[in-house]
Amino acid sequence: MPSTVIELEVNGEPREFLAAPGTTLLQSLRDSLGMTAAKRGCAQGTCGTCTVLLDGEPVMSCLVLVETVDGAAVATLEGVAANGELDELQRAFLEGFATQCGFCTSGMIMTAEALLAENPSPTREDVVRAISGNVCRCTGYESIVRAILDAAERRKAAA
Amino acid sequence: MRVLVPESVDGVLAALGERRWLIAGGTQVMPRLNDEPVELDALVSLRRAGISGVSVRDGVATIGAATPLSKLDLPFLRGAVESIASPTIRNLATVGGNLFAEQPYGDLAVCLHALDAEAQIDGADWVPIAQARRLVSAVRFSMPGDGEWFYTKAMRRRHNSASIVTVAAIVRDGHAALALGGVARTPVRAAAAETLLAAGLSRDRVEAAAQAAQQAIDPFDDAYASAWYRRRVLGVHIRRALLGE
Repeated sequence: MPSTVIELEVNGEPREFLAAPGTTLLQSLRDSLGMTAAKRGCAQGTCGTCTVLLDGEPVMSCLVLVETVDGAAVATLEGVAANGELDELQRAFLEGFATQCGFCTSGMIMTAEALLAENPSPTREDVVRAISGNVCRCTGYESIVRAILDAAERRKAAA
Repeated sequence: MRVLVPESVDGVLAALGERRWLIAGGTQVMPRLNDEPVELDALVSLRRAGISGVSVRDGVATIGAATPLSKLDLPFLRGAVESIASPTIRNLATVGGNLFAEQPYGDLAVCLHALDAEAQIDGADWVPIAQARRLVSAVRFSMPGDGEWFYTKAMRRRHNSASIVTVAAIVRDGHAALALGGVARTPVRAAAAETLLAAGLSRDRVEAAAQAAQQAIDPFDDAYASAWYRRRVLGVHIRRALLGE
């Protein structure tokens, strides 16, 4: 079957590419657009390393057929830093040692971006709930939870 | 293989056929396709079929089958919805798809059994939820009154776990519906327990109903719990659900 032309707005930029039938959003980002922040972990929707924002909502991009979301807006970790400056979440992860091997980090940050966009003052429980679909095998989660709460404080202080 | 994205229920029905699978949120179909090669002619997506959304009119809620769980914003179902998977999965997984999730998944389906919900088949006739078959285009049910709805789910951890035992119930004067999940491959109604509970929620009646519910179940072993354990703790969770203990 022939490939289809897909148009997505990726991190605010219009992008156009060819997708073979059955291609996932994750494969498109990594293989067609060269954006490798989203990771292929389990490919089962269990680990969350492929999390991106689809029309503003965090989803597992390994579970999304790209042909079904033609025209959508997608946000990935590549679009988080602005003008070479890390955003508050990235800085909080860096300074709070919330990254060890780093494989979960882009998914964690995208999930956290969605949380803070919806709820700028999350409780610890809100954070735990939000990242319950993102698996980290290194940190034990505490440093990640603290970094997300810290980033919320940084954003409020900067506002 | 092709991916078809019809823009109406009729379009979906026309696209279905042999070696063609329906896909809505993708949380059941995609893990399988990502895992092993499957010989398919087409995947037929419900994403643009126009069957999303929640409406409540005259006390009856009607929910499009392709509504993501995260958009199912009925307050009484909030606890049930939030007990299912993670927020990122709930942004994809749909109400209709939940009906076809084999237990110990499919907690919303357990709720729909307790609610005596109906499923709309092929955008036309309504059938009892237990007879739901593809293509489900919507579900509907009467909203329970204040204080009539009960739900609890025993999990291995507080978030993002399949069910050990799920209990969903409506109890009001002269009427009780008790649906159980995690304790058989499909949601079950505990008819003998319902008869006891219809007389009202006293501790004695709940104890007796918890005992009677044993007749309705056919539990299984899996990575979350053994069949023995599920049978052993069923009564505890029925009491917790109904008496708030």
